[in-house]
Amino acid sequence: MNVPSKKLSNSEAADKWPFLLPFMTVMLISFSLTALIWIALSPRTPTPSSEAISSKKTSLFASNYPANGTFQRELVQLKNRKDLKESDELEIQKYLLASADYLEIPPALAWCLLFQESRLNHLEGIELDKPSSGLGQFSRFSFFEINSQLDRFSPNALNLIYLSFGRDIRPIAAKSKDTVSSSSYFSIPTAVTSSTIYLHNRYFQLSKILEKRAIDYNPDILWLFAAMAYNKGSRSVIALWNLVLKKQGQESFYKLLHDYDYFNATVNDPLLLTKSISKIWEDKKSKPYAAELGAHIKNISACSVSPLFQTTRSLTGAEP
Amino acid sequence: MKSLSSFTSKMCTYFSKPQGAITLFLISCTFLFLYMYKHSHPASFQGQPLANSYLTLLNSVTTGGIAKYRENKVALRQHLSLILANPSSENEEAKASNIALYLFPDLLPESNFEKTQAFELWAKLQEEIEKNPRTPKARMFFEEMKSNIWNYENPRMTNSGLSEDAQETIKLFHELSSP
Repeated sequence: MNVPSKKLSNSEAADKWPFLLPFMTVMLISFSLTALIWIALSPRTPTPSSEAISSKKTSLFASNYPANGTFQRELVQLKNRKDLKESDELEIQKYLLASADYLEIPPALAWCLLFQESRLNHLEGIELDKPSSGLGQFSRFSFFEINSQLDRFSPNALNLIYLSFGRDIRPIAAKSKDTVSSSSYFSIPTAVTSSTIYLHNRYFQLSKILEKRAIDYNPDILWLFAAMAYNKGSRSVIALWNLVLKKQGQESFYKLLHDYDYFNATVNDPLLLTKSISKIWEDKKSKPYAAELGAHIKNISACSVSPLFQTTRSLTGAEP
Repeated sequence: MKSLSSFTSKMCTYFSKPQGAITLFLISCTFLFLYMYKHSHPASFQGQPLANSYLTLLNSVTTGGIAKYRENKVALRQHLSLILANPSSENEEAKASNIALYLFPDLLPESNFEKTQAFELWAKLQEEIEKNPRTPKARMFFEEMKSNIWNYENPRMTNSGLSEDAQETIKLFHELSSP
């Protein structure tokens, strides 16, 4: 009996299984295609060297606030004098953390802004007929935006109201005779929620301007600009952007939106700030106004930016 | 007193004659022509300070109505576009840009970050007011425009307040939207 040889030459194998080569080719292409589709559709995992992720990990803002000695001492004094009750402080903190978490606001920035505006006195201006009052110093136009124009901004803002109160509490107003009502800005939960929404609206507004032009930015730096806009209007920020872009060029403008040291140097340059503000207001107003804006952002930065990014001078020198 | 009455009587006698009637007719025609010319031609913005532009527009609304306002606005737009194309000084350019921001944002260069804000925050509302002037609907749009301008410039209503251009724009559209 003849036993056929088990070893076949290549030509013999090709003769025996004529479909082997096409079959292997089809299989190989199918595997390659499946792998490519798999890679394309899988969620992207960040690489450790990614600039964006590293900046996200190392937040510009302090985890403990106020970060600067001046505000820390003032906070202690407020508590010692009973100007700030412990229960009020805790309630402010509770709603601030919830709002900041939902709206992705750095909590240190939101806290420092409210401290700068009212020294955390939620009844600030209640007995006086002042144009702005309460924890975040709201004016009638700030109320108008919260009450009638939230649809122009992020849907998260309205969702936050429903999540915090279980219903729409608007219209909100400075109701001095009904401070416990959820519709009163003198009530702490309402004041914190609406003030953080107003801050978030400024961030939303500024970010849209940049995104429309595909301009990249560091979100932490943009939050500092939003804090400037909260206090002095978005126009002051935009005027500064226009001036830096026009006079110093694209590279400097990029640095202004990415580099905290460059941001700090720019907003602390009184000549530059005055020049940008003078595009809006006449000379008589622009100088004091620029000085006010400079002091505001200097205090907010010193209070909210992590000590890792600050100099000893900025941590101790900022005056309320 | 006597001379005045004699002058009046002489004038009456003169104007009762055919040549007097013709003279009176010609004088009346001259005045009518001057009046028509003044009110039918758009105001010239050339040579007058740019800061007066708002006042000219406001006066045209109160004295000549919406048609006159539209006509003058077109003339102002043309004037501003010439200035922005060839400004004589930095101050003039800044003033023209500020007026353009609040009334003609399309004249601003694309590089100006304020351009998109103007279109989003007040240009459309102004168009609505101009379409339906002096109506309750116009007043509603005006309130929204006013709030947008306040929040854009200074949300805190402090002494520094609004810029001159923002104040004048609000005054102008307050008048246009007054029922």
